[in-house]
Amino acid sequence: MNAGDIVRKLGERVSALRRDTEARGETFYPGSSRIHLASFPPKERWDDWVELDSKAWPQRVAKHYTLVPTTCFNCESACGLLAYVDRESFGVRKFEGNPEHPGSRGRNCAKGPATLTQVTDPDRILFPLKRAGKRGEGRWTQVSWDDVLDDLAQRIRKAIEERRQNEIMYHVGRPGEDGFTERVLAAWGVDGHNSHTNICSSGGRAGYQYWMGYDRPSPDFAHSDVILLVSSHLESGHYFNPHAQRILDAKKRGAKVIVLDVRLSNTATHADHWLAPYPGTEAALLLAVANHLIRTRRYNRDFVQRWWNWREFLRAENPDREPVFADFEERLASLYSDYTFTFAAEETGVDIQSIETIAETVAKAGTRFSVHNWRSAAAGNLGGWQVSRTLFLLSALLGAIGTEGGTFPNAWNKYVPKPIYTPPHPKVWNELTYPPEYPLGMNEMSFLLPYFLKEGRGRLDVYFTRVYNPVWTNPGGFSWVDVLSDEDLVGLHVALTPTWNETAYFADYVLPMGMGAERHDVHSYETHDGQWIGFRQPVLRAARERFGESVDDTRRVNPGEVWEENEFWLELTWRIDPDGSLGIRQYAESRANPGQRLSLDEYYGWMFEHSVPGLPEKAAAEGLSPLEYMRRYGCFEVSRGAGARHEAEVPPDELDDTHITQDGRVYTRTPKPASPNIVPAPGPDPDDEGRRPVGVKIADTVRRGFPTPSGKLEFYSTTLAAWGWPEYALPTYIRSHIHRERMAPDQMPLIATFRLPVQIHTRSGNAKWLNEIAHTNPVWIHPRDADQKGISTGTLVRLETEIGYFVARAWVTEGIRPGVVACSHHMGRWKLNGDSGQRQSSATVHLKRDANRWNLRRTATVSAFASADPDTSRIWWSDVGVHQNLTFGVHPDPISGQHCWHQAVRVRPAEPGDEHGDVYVDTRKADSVYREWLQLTRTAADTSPDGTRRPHWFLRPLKPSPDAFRLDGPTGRRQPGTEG
Amino acid sequence: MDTVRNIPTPANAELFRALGVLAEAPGRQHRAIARALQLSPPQSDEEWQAAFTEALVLRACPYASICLNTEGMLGGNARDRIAGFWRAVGLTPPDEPDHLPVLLAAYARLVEHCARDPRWHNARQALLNEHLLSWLPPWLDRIENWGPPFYADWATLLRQALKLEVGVVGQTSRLPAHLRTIPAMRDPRDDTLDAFVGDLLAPAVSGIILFREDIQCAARELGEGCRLGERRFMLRTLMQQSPAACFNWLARYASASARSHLQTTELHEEVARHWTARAKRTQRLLADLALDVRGALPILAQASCGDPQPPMDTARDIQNRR
Repeated sequence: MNAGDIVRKLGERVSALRRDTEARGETFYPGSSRIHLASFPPKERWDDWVELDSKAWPQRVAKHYTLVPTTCFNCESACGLLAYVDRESFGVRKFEGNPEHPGSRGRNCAKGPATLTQVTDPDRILFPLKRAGKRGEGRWTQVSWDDVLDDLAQRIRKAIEERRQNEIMYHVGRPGEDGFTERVLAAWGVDGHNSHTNICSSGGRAGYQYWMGYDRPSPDFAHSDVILLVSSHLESGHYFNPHAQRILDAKKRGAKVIVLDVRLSNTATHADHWLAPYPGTEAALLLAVANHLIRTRRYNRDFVQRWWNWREFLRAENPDREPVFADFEERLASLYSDYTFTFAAEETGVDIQSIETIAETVAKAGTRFSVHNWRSAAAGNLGGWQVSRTLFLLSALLGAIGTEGGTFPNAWNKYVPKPIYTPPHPKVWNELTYPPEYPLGMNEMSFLLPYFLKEGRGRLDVYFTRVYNPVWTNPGGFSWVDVLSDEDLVGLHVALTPTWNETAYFADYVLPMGMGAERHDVHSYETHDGQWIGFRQPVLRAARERFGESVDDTRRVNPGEVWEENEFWLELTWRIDPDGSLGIRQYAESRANPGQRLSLDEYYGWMFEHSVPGLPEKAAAEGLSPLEYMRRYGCFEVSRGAGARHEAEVPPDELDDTHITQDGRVYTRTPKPASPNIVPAPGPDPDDEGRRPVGVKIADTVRRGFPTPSGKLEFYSTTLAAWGWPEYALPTYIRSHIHRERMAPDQMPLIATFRLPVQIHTRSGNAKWLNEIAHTNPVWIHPRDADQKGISTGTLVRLETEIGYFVARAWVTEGIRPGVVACSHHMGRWKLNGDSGQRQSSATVHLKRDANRWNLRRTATVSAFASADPDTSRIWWSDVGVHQNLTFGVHPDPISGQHCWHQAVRVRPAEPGDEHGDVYVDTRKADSVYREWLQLTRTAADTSPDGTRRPHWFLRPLKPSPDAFRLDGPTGRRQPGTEG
Repeated sequence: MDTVRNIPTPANAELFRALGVLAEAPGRQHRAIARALQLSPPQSDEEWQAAFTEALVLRACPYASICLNTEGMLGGNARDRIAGFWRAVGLTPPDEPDHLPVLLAAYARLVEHCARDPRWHNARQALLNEHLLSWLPPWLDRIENWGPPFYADWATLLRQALKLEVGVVGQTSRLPAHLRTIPAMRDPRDDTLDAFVGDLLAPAVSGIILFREDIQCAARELGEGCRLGERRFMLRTLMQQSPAACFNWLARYASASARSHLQTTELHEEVARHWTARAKRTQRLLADLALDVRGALPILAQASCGDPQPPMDTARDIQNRR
């Protein structure tokens, strides 16, 4: 045999060995140790993974672990985690990344591994607590879950029976399982879902919704050539870890990254082009880029002609003339001709050359152009929703939608498996969350709740706050304290939370809920062009089941009496209607064992068996049930590569008795085919004869299109035009409430929306490792401004808002645009009593109220303390920042409903007697600000084109019956002077 | 360019992939792969780890950029050029695109693609000729002659596999781009000692690959002390102790290297010529310096910018990063 034959033979031997190994389901090639995922334990060894015990060093003591997947519960990305569970003690030793997870691909940010410190936090809440003294007094007694459940069930049942069902409200911060709690509320017949979204992403969502119906983008960053971010997406955006790694993949491939941000964020430092426009002028800059594309005819004309609703626009402008595309192009050019580079430079303060450069970069991107804006400018400014609308205009001009490297609607990259029960939506409308002044509000007007309650628009009998902390998070938190302290307005406040927070102090019940490793959730997010589901699970429950134990209640394995919400809600639902007479119990009842409560094993077993295509087969190939597969791997990839779904042809069997409008919208009598994927999607209205919209006719083919009224991308929003805002029906630029013209000469804009990269609102407040990295929030100020004001780094400064002021330390940095100051909202946590609450992150404060005037002053900062965790004796920091949000008035955008976070402030050195962290607020001024902004609205009674409260096609977590949509429809609440 | 699983993997692809994996830190799966290749790994895992560290961490880090850059260090133009190749074939460059296991894995994929679609031939030929054969012949030669037995055998097998591959794919007639713009070795009499030592330690410039052990060997043979530190520091102090003897020793070493390079024409003729010519030129310069020690003395008296804490050399740098 010659050398060549020998070498060939060796290759064949390796191939044969590889085939045999992989046929056993084992990993053959370990991968590279420096790159990829080789440092992760191979999945076939997860049951018994051996590592040396670091604490036993220098002895070499082997520790045996069973590795159990779950997902992180800190930010919404839900990255995969692997819990290293000690096989002897059944304690979790550490969390690392799950290499099987399609979204995070084994990589995590600091918040993932820090879950361990949240689990072991000595200050966490371990037992159900009931208020002992007055609300806010800080006295608690431990109660049993049974007593809590009976009390809540009785109270909720009574409200439902008395048709006061909308006096029950569930207010959520961090979502858990897609749609779970919405279905619980639907089962109760309650329109009581309230979210944090209008202080978060409503502005961003609105801009996308008016274009494509869907309210979230899903950029295919990994395959883009040009990425345009109006955000700090590499460090803190939705879904920053999965997205950031794909943005960096693209950068390695040579993609260009453009970042618009007032601050030199970590993202801006990684950009090829960083532009820092004056806050609120981003849309002007984006429109200048659009104008460049249009003027130089480098937009995708075929795509625009095919997929924009230009016919509707021309018809609206000139109803008597047949729409012609050439006319539209001419009109398009004139519409944006004023947005010259010169105008954009003057408006934004960015030099012309930089704007030209990025315009050229965008022009060359073709369809490999992806964009993202979620909070940032869209969440900061009056009219901020036009930032995402004008950003998406660029994608629409380039035809970079549903293309490789382009931007997709989120629903194409998301999979929500249908559960065992889907109760009907409620028959009542909740005006506390969807008030008539905001018919186009994207989500619940959550941050106005205290003002509505104080105005007498209603009361709450049972108010659940769930992983939500409005006192700290929302603007004007003292108004929340005011309302939560008033038992007439809030009958019973139940705080469902894993850890103490400022809102929980004002609760009647504080109920301990599990961290990411202590609860079940199924979720799916648009992290890339693919669909996957992740399975969050109580890792100790799964670990014990691996060893043959049966665990039917997560409380058995969680610390103390910490529970998980899904079991809690099922049990509460069961107790509200024990005999089934209200028709509620059926949604919490086992199908396998009628008469018994549905178990989570049955709930998830059914879902994975029936609603996830491919999962049963893949599980069977490994000899597992679908539920066992998900417990073992924690995730499943449903599909890859959505492609251009809008171009998909509608099959002929869906086209029964169609009706086609003059602009090509196609309606059909064929019922909508059942789908196991129940991802939320807008629902354009049927035609006058009840046919459902099914697609759009383009040339001779009916294509799926987009879920908008026209079925196309809506350059011209008929909805905005019909609902009283015709002047904003097109993508345009709205001058912000902090535009230079609206500011007094001594005022500056304060950017208050940005996060610290390792923190996540209040949820990470008990993560010791994260607090050590980031624990304060100084005020960023440019050296030029600092010099003028006599401020240097560390100087105490007073920032005066329209309702009060706060005192913080300055950080003089060139990383902020001159003339602007910034302060992250993450810090400034506080507690009212020294010994209870989070000791590592919260200062102890004294809260003084004099009628409408509130003062908050620190009496003690954080310091080292002895506990079961030796690390708490090593706390070296004392500065925990300042709680600035207390000093902000509410700024609801009259269209999107988004709270416009940016503030006009006066900045000056602190006054004698000021101390770091001081806050002063006049809530009477806060009420005035609320009324001023309310004046900007156009109420549904005046603008509704059809007598309804809100466009029916809009997304809504719960979608009440058509009758409830009517302006005079049932509200599920006792009206003044009536019995209900 | 994802692998289509239902098409059988060509044996040579599997071979390159397996050889690449064996240039990684040994783990649980490596033993089975080594045995499939009829290589005999060290008996215990610890012995194997030690052999790996000796051969591929401390001695000859398997990175193309170290051999091809004018500085003899990681990264730089050579890595950028290789990253450009990844992009050109539609792949995202990994963190270390010039790492040998990564290059061999990529080559394996191109072999698989070629089996399905001959249009991949050019890419396969480019990776082989430009980014593997431009530096592997002299590098493998050093491993075969100086490496622990397992890695010496591994290097021999890789050389054989490459030779077989050249027979299939063919040599290109041009010198790889990496080597076309390499500047000439600097004469210390016209430049600084640091520049001269730097060039000596940049394989593509000097045509020689000097391990730490080589310098220790020189010191032993010359009866001089060997000051411990990075290679740059060791070499410079050795020159300062006994310049003529040191230059002569290095000249002999360069001459032997030139002879070895000449034996690698079967892999890539132009590459072999380049390395041979470089080594010969270095040999001539060193021999001249040995004769002109007086001329070199002022230079040898220069203090290094690195004294007394010389900069980290590449091997140490990599070791520390791990």
